[in-house]
Amino acid sequence: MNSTESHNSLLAALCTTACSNHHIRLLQTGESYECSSAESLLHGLCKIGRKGIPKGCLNGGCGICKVAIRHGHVKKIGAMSRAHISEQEEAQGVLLACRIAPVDDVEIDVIGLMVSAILRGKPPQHLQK
Amino acid sequence: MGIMRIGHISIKVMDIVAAVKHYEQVLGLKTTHTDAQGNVYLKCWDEWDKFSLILTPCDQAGLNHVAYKTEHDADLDSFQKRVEDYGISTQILPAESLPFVGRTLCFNLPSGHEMRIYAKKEYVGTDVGTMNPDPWPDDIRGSGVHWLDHCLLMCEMNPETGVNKVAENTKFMMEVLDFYMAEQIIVGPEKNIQAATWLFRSTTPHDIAFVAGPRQGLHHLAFYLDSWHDVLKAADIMGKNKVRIDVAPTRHGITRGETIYFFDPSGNRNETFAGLGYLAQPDRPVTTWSEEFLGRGIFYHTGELNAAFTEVYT
Ligand code: FES
Ligand SMILES: [Fe+2]
Repeated sequence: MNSTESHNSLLAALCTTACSNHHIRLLQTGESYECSSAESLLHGLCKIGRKGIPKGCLNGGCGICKVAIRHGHVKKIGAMSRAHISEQEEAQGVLLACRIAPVDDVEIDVIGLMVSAILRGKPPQHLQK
Repeated sequence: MGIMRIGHISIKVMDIVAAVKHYEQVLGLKTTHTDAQGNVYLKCWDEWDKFSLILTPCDQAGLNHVAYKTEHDADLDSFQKRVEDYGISTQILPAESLPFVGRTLCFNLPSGHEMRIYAKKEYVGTDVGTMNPDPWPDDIRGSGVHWLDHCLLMCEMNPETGVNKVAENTKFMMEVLDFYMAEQIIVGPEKNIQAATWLFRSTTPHDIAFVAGPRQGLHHLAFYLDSWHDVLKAADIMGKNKVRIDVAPTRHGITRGETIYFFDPSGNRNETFAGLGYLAQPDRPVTTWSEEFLGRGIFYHTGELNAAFTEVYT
């Protein structure tokens, strides 16, 4: 285990005591990660340490972090640009990962610009569950 | 003399309270006016006109328009004729269409971005005044930016269909609005595709830049700081305020600017930019960057261009 991993698990342990953690599954790759209800889905996704996950504006404006919620529930934690998420999409659970937090365990597909980054290369072995 | 400088930029924000707080506390602008629609007008301490930034509440982020200030009111008529003769339709908005601003020429660049030119805006003075002034005022907040310096607009380019709005905008700006080119990026197997340009009217390396992307948009708006140390201090202020930093302090090869990129609370990218780079003059030879040195041109130290830098914008 390298120092980043031990640091991450320490953070995860600290977080479990403070807030509720949920299991997020990326259907396209089978990867999953823990995400607390106090952080955005994108923030959690970035913590799995995969190369090439595009860090966008994190503020709901650029649209790069578009995901479709296939299962489970999320809550909105900030404004999302209508230039990227239409009302219809929002109703269907197509949302910006930087502006939603999990309410329970969630399954997602990444869509749009993030797809190539997510599908590029194999995820590290220890992350496949 | 025609166009003097960038006069203001109007951008869309999704949370007006958070946006005002960001531009006041992190950048250091001051609110000078709020209109009946809830649009907020701000200026930097070293600017003398009433405002340089307009924040408009909206359900999305991005650019409304960018405006340049020309020296004489009569310039507006000659520019209108030249723009129309070029084949672009224009409109003259009467004075006070925007508060404190005189009549304004309004049109879309070939890329689709709305551009405006005006000659008059209410004078309010800098925060240090004109009589025996101190070098800086005592009530500077945040990064204390001096002035709105430039903007970078993303323009559609698709080599397969032959669309290159960077080249179209550049030609228009130079032929019709008398801008000069400081630097350009040339790419492609034949080394003939103009993928980015930096243009000026003032004496700094750029008052506007165009970069190719999949769709039209606003890449960033940039504010001027004195020195590298001010850029570091700006980064400290972003740390204090938990601002999402995009690119930590570094130097551009292109323009030689010292820089930090970050996002406002709606995801519009900001830059604070230091160093005058060089004296930009109409007869200065154009600097060209080739595809192999593109990364070095953008981020001079690492030479690495991250994908998000060109893909993420509003
Ligand atoms: S990262 Fe920009 S909208 Fe989510
Ligand atoms: Fe810039």
